[in-house]
Amino acid sequence: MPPKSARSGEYIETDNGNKISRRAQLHATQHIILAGKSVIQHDVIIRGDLVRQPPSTTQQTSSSSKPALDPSTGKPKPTPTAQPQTVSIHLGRYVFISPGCTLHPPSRLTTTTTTPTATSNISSTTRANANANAALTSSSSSDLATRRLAAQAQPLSPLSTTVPVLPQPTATATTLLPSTLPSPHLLQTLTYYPLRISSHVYLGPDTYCAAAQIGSHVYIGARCTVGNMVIVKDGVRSRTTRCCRPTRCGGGVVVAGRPAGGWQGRRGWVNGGEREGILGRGRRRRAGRV
Amino acid sequence: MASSASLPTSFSKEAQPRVEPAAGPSNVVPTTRPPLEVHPTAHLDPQAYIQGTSTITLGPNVVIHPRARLVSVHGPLTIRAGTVILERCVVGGPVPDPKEPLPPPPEAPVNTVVGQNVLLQASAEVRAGAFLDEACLIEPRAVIRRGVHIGKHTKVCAGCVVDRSVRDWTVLWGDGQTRRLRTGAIDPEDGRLKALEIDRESTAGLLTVAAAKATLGKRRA
Repeated sequence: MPPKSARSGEYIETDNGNKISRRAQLHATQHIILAGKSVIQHDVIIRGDLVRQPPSTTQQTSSSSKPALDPSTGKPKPTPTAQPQTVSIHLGRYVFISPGCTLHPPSRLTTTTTTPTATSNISSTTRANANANAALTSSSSSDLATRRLAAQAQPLSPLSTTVPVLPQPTATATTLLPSTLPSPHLLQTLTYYPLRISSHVYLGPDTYCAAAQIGSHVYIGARCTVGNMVIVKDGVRSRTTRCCRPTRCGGGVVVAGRPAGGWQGRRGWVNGGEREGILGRGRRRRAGRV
Repeated sequence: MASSASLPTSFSKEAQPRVEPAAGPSNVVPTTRPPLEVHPTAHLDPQAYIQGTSTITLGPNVVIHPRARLVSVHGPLTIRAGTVILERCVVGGPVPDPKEPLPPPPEAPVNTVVGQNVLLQASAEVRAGAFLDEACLIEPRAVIRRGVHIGKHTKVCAGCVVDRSVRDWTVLWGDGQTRRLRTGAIDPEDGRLKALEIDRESTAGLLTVAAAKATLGKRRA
């Protein structure tokens, strides 16, 4: 039976051949890249607004007004060209996103160590926060909430997403360095990474995807949940209503179960969460974990 | 219309105080936009959906992502401090049929309370009458049914359907019937809550910038 044809005017067709439903909800389309020949059906949510702030913008805002001079010629150095826009979601060719899907960029909490005295080592993104740290260290209060209020009073960069976190002055706190040396400050930053989907990928209806990378020729069934920072290799096939929460899914694996487990065999497959018997030869890969 | 419910002071498992509807004419036509009490530090995204007749209360540092749906048709909805609700979540449902007119305020409204520092991930559903205690983690596509009490620091894994109350420090996975107590998880839990706080602050900034850009783009157009 031939598939139903869509109503006229329901889809927007781009120059690259992408077909996007007018009822799809794409946030911040400037951060979304579609390679071509992809289909995005209705009620799809693509969060392009959760994007990693490029460091070049903060470098430009924090740099001095005078241009740097080339020591050999004495002439001002040419200003660097603007970096390309940060990509939040990148879809390959022939990607089919079924109705009700949600594409959410993965995020990770990163901890960087900064030393306030070593100014050459402090990046421009953390310079504004180093000022906040200096103000915080002078505070006599040990309450985290009070110090955070003091940090909020400092004029930080409007696009800064870092929050200075000082080590807790308790017995259980982990000391980084001996007290004789200047203690470095830990800056915990929430960073959104791009969600990359390769070519020939099918996402079933009502699927939630927060993966870091999905390889080529991947089939993800309906009502699946792909967890945060998951890497799905090429050729993975996921059954319906499955939760994929392992860190990596190897290539050519059938994933099933809640939580999902992988099966790579010639005949039959095993639900990871249901602990059924192994059928035939092959490796049973236990990947789900609570 | 039901009066605004005050925040309960205790987290006891006793029955939630009933909200008596205020005396008034019975032919009052309910509006589609419910009364809102939003704390100045809360972020309610302009693209979030709000529907109902009872009061919706957002505490301090609450972040409501776009495309989240807050429903107060069945009773008042209270979201306490530090809660993050991601996209496509439905809180206070089930969502009434959009083809039919909005029903009048119920005679016996049920309170829906989402506690402090709760993280509702995408497509999670919290039905009316549910009570989520402090620092719960509800993963994507989980469903919390009516009248269920979710204990503190409980984790409901993706896709679970919870139809009975859960004690504190419990993990539910599978179809929602498999559960176990979280053991030795205090220090990682502190780390998770700190990460949630950082996530909340940074994401609120991103959403504010994105909303401002969208508004500016509409004005230019």
